[in-house]
Amino acid sequence: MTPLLEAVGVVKTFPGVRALDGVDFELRAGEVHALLGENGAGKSTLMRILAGDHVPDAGELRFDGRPVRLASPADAIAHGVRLVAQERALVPTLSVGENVLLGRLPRRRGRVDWGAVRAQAAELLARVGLDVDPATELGLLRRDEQQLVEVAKALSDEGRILILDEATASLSTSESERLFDVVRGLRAHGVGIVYITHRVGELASVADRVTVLRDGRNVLTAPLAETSHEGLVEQMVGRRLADLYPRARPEPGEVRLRVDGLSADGVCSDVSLEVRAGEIVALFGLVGSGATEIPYAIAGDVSARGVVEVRGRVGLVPADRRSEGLFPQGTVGRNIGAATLGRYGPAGIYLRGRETAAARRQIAALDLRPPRPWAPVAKLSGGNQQKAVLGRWLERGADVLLLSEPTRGVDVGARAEIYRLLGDLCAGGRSVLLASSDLDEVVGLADRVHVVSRGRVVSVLAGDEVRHDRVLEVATR
Amino acid sequence: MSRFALRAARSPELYLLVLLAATLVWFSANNPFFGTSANFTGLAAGAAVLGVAAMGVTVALAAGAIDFSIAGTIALSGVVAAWLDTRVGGVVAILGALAVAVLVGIVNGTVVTRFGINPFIATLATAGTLRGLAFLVAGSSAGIVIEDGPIVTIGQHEIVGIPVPIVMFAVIAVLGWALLAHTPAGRALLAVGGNPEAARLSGIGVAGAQRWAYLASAGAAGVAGILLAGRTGSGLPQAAAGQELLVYSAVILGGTSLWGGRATVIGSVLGILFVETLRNGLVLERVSPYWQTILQGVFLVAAVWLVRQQQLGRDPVWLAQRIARRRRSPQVEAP
Amino acid sequence: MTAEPSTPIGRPEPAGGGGLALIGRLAAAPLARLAAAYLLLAAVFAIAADHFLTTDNFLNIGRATAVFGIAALGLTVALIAGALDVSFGAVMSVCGILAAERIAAGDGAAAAVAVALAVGVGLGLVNGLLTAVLRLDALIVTLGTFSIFGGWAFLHTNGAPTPASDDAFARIGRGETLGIPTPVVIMIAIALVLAVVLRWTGFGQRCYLVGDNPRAATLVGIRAAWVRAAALAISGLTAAIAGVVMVANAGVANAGEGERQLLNAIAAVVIGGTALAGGSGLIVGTLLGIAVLGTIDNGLNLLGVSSTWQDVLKGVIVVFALVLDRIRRRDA
Repeated sequence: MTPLLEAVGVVKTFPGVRALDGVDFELRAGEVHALLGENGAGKSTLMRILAGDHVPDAGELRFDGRPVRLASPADAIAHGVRLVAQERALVPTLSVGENVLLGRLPRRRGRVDWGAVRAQAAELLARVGLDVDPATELGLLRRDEQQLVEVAKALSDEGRILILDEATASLSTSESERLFDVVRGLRAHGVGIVYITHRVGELASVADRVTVLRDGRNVLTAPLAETSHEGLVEQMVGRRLADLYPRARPEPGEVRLRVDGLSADGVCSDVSLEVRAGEIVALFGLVGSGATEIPYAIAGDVSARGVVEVRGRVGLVPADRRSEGLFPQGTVGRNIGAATLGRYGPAGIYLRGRETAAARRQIAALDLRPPRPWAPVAKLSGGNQQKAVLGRWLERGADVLLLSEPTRGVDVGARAEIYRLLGDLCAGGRSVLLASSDLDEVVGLADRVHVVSRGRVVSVLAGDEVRHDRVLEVATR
Repeated sequence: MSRFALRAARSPELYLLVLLAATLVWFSANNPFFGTSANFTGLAAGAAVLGVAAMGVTVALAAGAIDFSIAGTIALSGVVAAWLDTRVGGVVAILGALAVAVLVGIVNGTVVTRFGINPFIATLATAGTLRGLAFLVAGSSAGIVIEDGPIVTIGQHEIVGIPVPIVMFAVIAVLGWALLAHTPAGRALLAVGGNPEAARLSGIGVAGAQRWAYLASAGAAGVAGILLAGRTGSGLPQAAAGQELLVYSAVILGGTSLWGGRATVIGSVLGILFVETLRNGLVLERVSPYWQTILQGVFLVAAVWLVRQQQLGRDPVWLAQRIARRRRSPQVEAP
Repeated sequence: MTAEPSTPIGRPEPAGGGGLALIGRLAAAPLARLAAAYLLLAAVFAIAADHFLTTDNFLNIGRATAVFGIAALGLTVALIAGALDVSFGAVMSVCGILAAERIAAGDGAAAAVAVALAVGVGLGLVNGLLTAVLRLDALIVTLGTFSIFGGWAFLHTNGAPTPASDDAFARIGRGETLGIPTPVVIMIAIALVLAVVLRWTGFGQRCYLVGDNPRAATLVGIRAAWVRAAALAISGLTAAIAGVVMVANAGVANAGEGERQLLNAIAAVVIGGTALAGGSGLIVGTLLGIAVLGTIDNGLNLLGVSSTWQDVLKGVIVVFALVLDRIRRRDA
């Protein structure tokens, strides 16, 4: 059988980087083909080539065995390629319905047929299980709702190839399940699906075959049944990850952070918790539960009622690195020194040498690469950028670190390093409050887990109870 | 409340309509001449010239295309029309002036989309060039007088008792509204203005859309320039100087976003009418016309603030509900 | 375009420590290219016009650029902090008129200057407060205050000129200090002060952080709105100084006069490499931008180009310069 889509020997070079170095990829009708790889492995470049967003330097694309050239996203769309992009490619100022049908609004006698827009959009939204009025302005929707709109958009007409890029990244478990249902339905209709994800664990629910890329080359293509979770992670990282999560931490010390009855409008209500020195305490909740916003309330970023007692300083590592954490035009040094500007000279004077020295200290302590204070932070990998944000607070002397989704969009290798780092910090007597919707990392790292649902702590699990099944059971109850 | 009533109560156009009505009532009550049909006709004809330019600006802003060169385009097209009128006649003059405006739109669009120059600074620069060219063509700041002919007809005559500029304004406004609200092309402009990346991934050509946007603003400014030349009976190189700010104020006042993706033709029409009514009324009241400039600034900031509040869900409906809740709550608690 | 560098690429590491590193970074900066472009431009005029390469001529260039240049310097600070201030032209007019009135009332130059500067800072703070309290973009707010301040200047003077004849006051605009025109000395002094503020003070660094990412700045404990307000106050202050120099030089204050400097000042800042979106930029860049614009005017003058043609060419050259810069940046 001729494959729906073939990419043969694809090469793509960006200034200074060979993103793809002769990659082959094949997609058959009616299969879900998972594409795995660390950040920088080349999977989003490959995806963008398939979607017509990048033009390859060499190699060939074939649809139904015929060579094609995709010069623009419009070309790819004409060939039946539909992309659900990672960064929500939606227009916030337009209605939900119009976004679903963007670029192919139904028309009647040259005019937009608004009645049809409404009806078709409503049907597609129902298919992905999103219950909103199509006339609602898109910008008013939550993050996870927008992600579902994105999926509905990809279903809006007869696409033959669907590319899902980290489609479940901000979805709750039940929303993901529904998405998998939709994907299985499409597969049954003969649609070929490219499924890109960081979450190796969810592949079993959807994927038929899997391809792993590393450093812009093919490493493995095999039926999923012939692979194992650990094996895939090893192939992605290119080495054995002996232990993703750090073990053996000292006995917890005094109470560093005490939160009592914290409530903030639209975020959380009556949250109470304690974190001791040397402890990692997690706030786990499904997306939309409010768990990841609680650190902001503790840090005083949103107005809240209740008691927050801290011994020492608090440092907040925000969830969205790009929009909340980094100073993208700055150097590594400026990013590390941002919270401690007052220390680099007397009476409001700022001496860059002192900031550079501080940056060097943190770079060494965190093993940040490249180890140069004046490297532009925008060129760092996600993991190293996260280290720069962490380093900022360590330089500030933060004793209590509040982290919100610290590994969202961070690949497996850098993830392990951040986990090790958090382990080291706790071993050094710091306290960590980790708010996350990633079940694996919560179970792997935390001494205690506060399960959050609808802004309230519904249960506190400790010791042997910190297990996948227990946490998930409580969270979805 | 019905869905339609609720949506109407939440639209920025409604505030502006109320504001406009209040202004009309206020000036009518204070000045006997204000309410006469002669005054209204003059006011509307004056508003029509900038109104036509405002339609172009609205369509361009939909796609996020900021064009601060419209006043220069108005002057240049007026002067070119006058210059050609004295040499080859009125019809060719009109076509020639429009051609110049289209050329300006192509240049602006190319500089911004092809070379990625910030539109704010690029069109600020071309504005200076256009104004200079207008002076070059005119030869002196006295301008070029236009004899009776097609241009004067467009500027000063009437169709069934309505001045031609008003008719043209109305036609262009309806076209603009239909384009933005009901055609795929208009929706594509809004998509490009709201999120260019999303538009691109959906197969919409971003650069192309923005080029059309600059063409729309320059083309409309060209028409406005011809209308103005017809109304004043001369091509003046200093025409419309500083009026780009007035047009942008009116458009933003109407609820169109300076950052693209949100545009309302009806709002812009109301905005222009409001700004011009204010000017007319203040002149009749013998208040210094400079007050109008000041008020325009105040209204601009206030309008943007109001729109922001509305986006945060704090509209009159919200306010009414809050007040109602506050009034009700003590009764609920009472035994 | 989203590349996925598997190993992050830094700039080449310059030999040596902090001081040398700074030099290395300066050499790699786009400013070096701008300087080269300026030298090229100057070379063309030097060949084409006889009197271009004379000390007097360069002093002329300085004199002609000082008014918009001074305003452009403060504007640079505001823009770095992410606040595009378009009201500065109106602030120039208002402050110039107020200074002229003090002179006319016989208060003397010092009092006139003091009033103008105080009002300039005040108007800048009004911009800053409106931006902070209403949570609106500075461009919108200053577009509004541009109308308000500018309209007030016309209203207050009724469009009539206000003479400012006072010898001491006139020296600010026409006199010389150490053989250099006083406006140029003022411009250079302000440039030095602001360059030091941006590079050597915590406030300056906060301007960059706030302009780069206001949300992140807020989360590290910087009061972004107030940093912006302060930057707008600096822009107001330099606009006031520019207004005083303008009126002192002309001997008369007119409403609407400052607004004419809008394109020149903004163009100088942008040509100098300050991002309109905020977060990056240098005073040296703006100085170069000022020099480029001043030299273009001056060279065209020497070549006998009429002022109308100069207006036409100015826009073309500004756009051309920006296009060239873009193309080079794309190649790099």
